[in-house]
Amino acid sequence: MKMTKSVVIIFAICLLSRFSAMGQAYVAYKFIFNGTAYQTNGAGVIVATPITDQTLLQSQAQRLGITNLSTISLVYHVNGGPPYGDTVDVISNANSQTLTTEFGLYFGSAYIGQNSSLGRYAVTNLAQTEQRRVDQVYTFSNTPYTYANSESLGGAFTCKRFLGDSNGNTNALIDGTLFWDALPTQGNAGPLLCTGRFTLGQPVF
Amino acid sequence: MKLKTAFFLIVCALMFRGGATASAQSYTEYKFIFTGTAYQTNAAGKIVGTPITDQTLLASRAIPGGISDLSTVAIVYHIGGDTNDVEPGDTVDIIYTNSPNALTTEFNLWFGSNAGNGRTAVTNAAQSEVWRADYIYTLNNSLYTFQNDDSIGLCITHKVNVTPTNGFANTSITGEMSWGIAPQGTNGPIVVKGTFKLGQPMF
Repeated sequence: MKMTKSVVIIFAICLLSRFSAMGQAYVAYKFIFNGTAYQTNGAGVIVATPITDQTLLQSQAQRLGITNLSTISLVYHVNGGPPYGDTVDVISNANSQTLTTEFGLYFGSAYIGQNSSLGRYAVTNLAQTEQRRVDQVYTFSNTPYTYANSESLGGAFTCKRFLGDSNGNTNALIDGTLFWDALPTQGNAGPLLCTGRFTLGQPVF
Repeated sequence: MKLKTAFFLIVCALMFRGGATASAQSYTEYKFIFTGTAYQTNAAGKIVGTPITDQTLLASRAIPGGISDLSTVAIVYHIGGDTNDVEPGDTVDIIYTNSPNALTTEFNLWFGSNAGNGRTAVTNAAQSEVWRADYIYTLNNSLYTFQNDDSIGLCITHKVNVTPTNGFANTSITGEMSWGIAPQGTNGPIVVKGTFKLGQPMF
């Protein structure tokens, strides 16, 4: 009887792991960003400051009152802002819950439920595994690098590729260029314009 | 002797005035130098990238317009080319090389610093350098443009010495732009990405 139970448990574990291996399609990946923030300093000169994904993460963590950056991640979330498009989110590493959204990459192509055409089109291959698109960048909160605004504040040119591996997993390879501006807020003394390149890191969920 | 000195001073004054005028000439139209890639899905269903330049864009407007000799026309970056909108903006125009008037406009670069939209540019205190993110509008149909009410792409632009703090000397405008084009005729959608800079001053 014990033997039978053990076999059942082992079989169940194998089955679950097989299902997991066969059907896994990741939708969130670490967001890797390298860029430059341009701002006019106290002497009236435009200065360029290097920024990374960690700079952006730090600025959101500060707003959220989180001091331990190892507990959160900045992730690229495929279709994180349905129906408009993808997002870049700050998530909890403990439970993958979205704590805030850094960027919405929206309206680069028609979306489900759209009432009137914005006249925006992406280029997609026949197999639906590759795409080039131009999205509008939205920011939703006031931090040293973002500004809460109902209108878009920049743009992103994105190349997406979705690849299946021999285990049946679907992996996204996404990279692009991104730029946005931010009006002054309490954490940001003057107007700011940021530009840079992004790519994806390890899958998160 | 006094007469010679006076004559010398007059000549110097004329030379100085002429020279100063020349250095203060304010060009607002420069050749638009563009290098980019147009992405489109081919008949086999694959995305292909085709290199395009300012001359590709120029030909796409001139030839359908009945102008076969491209040496008679130019594609130019026009500083303040549009003055009639909520926010005046720069344009990229097609002109005859002997006239500053636009035959048509390829791109309108609008609303990058429109406070009503919550947007801002970054400008230095001397007003001689600007970084801005503009929205690309195209107002008529061609191979790389189409008539649309909304913006179809974006452009990040770095301007140096565009305001007349030093008589427009050493004006530099560089940028990176990307935009999408609706399917037209037998063409599927196209997405273009590229960089631009200014070439020779025209007008």
